[in-house]
Amino acid sequence: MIKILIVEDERPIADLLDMSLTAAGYCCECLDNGVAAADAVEKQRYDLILLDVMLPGIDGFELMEFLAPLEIPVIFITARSALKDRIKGLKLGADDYIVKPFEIAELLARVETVLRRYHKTESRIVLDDVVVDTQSRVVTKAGAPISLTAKEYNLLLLFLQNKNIALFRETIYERVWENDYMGDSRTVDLHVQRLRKKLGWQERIAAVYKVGYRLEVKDS
Amino acid sequence: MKFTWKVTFTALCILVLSVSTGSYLLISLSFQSALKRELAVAQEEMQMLRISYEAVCNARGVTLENVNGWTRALQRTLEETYLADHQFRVSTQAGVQVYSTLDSGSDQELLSSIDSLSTGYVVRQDPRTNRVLVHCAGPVSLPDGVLYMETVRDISSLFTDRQIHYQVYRWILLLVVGAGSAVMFFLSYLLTMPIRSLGRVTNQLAQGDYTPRARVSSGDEIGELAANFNRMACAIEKNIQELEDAARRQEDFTASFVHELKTPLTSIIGYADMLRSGNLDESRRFKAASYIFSEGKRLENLSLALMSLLVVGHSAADAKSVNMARLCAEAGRISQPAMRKKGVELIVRAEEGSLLGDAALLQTLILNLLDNARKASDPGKTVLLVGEVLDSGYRLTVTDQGQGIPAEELSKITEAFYMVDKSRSRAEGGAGLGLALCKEIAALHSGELRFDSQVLQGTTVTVELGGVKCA
Repeated sequence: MIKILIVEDERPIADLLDMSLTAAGYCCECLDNGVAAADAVEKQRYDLILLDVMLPGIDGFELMEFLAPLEIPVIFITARSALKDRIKGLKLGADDYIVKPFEIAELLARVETVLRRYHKTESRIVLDDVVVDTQSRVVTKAGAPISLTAKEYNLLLLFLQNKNIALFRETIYERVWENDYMGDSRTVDLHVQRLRKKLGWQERIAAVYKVGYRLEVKDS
Repeated sequence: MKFTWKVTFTALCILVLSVSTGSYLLISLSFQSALKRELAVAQEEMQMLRISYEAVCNARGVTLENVNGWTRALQRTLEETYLADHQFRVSTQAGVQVYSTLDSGSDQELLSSIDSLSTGYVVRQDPRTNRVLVHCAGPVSLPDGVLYMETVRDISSLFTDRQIHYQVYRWILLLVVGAGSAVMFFLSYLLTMPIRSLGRVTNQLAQGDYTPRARVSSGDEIGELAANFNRMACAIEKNIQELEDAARRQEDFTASFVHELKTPLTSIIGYADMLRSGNLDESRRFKAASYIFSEGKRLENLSLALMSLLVVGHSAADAKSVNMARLCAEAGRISQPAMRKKGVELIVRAEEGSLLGDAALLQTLILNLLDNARKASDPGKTVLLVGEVLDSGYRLTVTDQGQGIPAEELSKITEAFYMVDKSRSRAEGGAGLGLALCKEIAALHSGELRFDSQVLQGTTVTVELGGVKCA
C-alpha cells in the first residue's frame, strides 16, 4: 500500500485530497503544520508528500529544505502561481508543482507520474485478462500483445486510474490530449470506440449519458 | 586632467614665475649697485692718484716743458711714495707717454673726450683676456699745461660673481620646483580627498546602494557640499524605502488575496468535481456538499469584506451627529446572541456623547472589535465595551480576557489578510480583513487603533475618534 502524507492547513482541501487519493487506492495521513510534518517524516516512511506552501509556523519552502536530503518525493500544492515561486519550489528539490485550484484527475495523474518515476507504483496493472506493463508500455490480453497508439494507451491508463468514476469528455480530452477542450467530443468518442474494440471492453467502458465514460469494476 | 594635477601645475607655474622674477631682479639690482660702487671706487682712486701726482710735480717744480727731463727723477720719487703701488699712466695731450706702469696702450678715445677740467671713464672688455676693465682718466695740472693720467681697474669679478649667482639661482629654482611640486601635489591631494570620497559615495548611490554617506570633515564649501549631499541621500533612501514598502504591501496584499480566493475555490471545484463523477456513498456526499456550502460562504464573506474595505477606502463618509451611547448599546445588542452562544459575557458602559461621523461605519467598527474580542475569548470570560467623552471627540475601548497577541505580531495585525491564529480565525469564519477595515474607518474619523496586549492575559483596543473633518 502506498502511503501519502498530506501537509495542508486548510481542512477542506486536506479532506478533498484525502478523499480523492483514498478513493484511488492510496493510504493517506493529514497534518496541518510543518513542525508536525517534520516529526512524522522522521518516525515513519512515506512514499510521497503533498506539501502546501503557505503553512503556519514553518512554511512549505522551509520544510522542503529539511525534506530534500530524505529523498522522499514531494509535490507542492499551492495558490502561488508566480513563475518564480514554481522555479523556487522545483529548485528546492520538489518533484512537481500543482497550482490551486486543481482538478482531481490532474492531481491523480501527477501523483501517479511522480510515483512511477520513483518506481513505487506496481508496474503491472491487471484487470480481467488484460495486463498493462507501465514500464515497457506493453498491453497484453490473454497473453497476446495488443498494439495501441500513444493516445489509446494514455486513455487506457486514465480509465484504470479512475475506476468506477465517471470521466467527463472534457476531462478525458484535457488529460489525454493535454489541450484545452474546444467542445469537439468526436475525437474522444472515436478513441474510446477503438479502445473498446481492441480490448473487447464494450461492457466495461460504459457510456454515461450526457457526461462521458466510466470504467466499471464490480468488486471494488 | 585630474583636479589634483591642475592645482599642482597652477601652483607650480606661479611658484616658478615668482621665484625666477624675484631672483632675477635681486641679482640684477645687486650687480648694478656693485658696479656703481666699483666705478666710484675706480674714479676715486684715479682722483687720489691724480692729486698726489700733481702735488709731487708741483713740489718739484715740474713743468710741461721739462717733464721729460724729470721723468727719471720723478720716477724715483714716486717709487718712494705710495703711488708706486698703483698702476697708472701719464701722458701729454698729444698722447706722448710720460710715465706708465700699465701694460696697455693709452686710450685716445677716452682722452679726447675729456679736457683740463673734467674727468671721464669707460668700461671695456679686453678682447685678449676677456677681462672687464674700467679706464679712468683725469687731468694733472702743471703750471704751464696739463698732463693726463689714466688708471685701469679690473672689475671682472663682478661679472663672474653675477655668473655664479645665476648658476646658484638655477640650482635653487630646480630644487624649489622639485620640492614645491611634491608639496603642492600632497597638499592638493589632501584638499581634494573629501571630493574624491564624495565621488565614490555618489557612484555607490548611482549603483543603487543607498546606505553609504559622505564623511563631513570640515566646515568649508566641500564639507557643506558633503552635508547637503548626505541630506539628499537620506531623502532619497527614505523615498525609495517608502516606495519599496508600498510595493511590498501591494505584493503581499495580492499574494494573500490570491491565496484567500483560490483556497475556497479549490475546495468548491474539487468537491463539485467529486460529486458529479458520482460513486460516492451517502456520508461522503454529505461531507462534500457541506464543504462546498461552507467554502462558498467563505468566498461570500471575503467578497463582502473586500467590498466594504474598498467602499470605505474610496468614499467620503456621510457625516452626521451620532449618538455614541445609543450606538454602543445597539452594537452590544447585535453581538449579544453570538456572545451568549459562546458563553462570553458582554458588558457595555458608554457615556452620553455625540460625534460627527457615519453611524453605519462606526457600528461596523464596534461590531468588528467586539467580534474579534469574542473570537479571542474562551467561554466564561468577559468582554468590556467602554465609551468615554473626550474634550474633542469620543474614545472607545474594547477589553477582553482572551488569547492576547504576541508583541511581534502587533504591528502586522491591521494588514489585510493577516491572521494571528489562522486555524482559529478560519474556524470562526474570518477572512482576515476585519482590522484592516477598522483601521480605515478609524482613519476616516480622524482616529487610529491602539493595541495593548499580553499573551494569555487579554487585549485592549483603544480608538480615540475626533470625528469626520469637514473638507
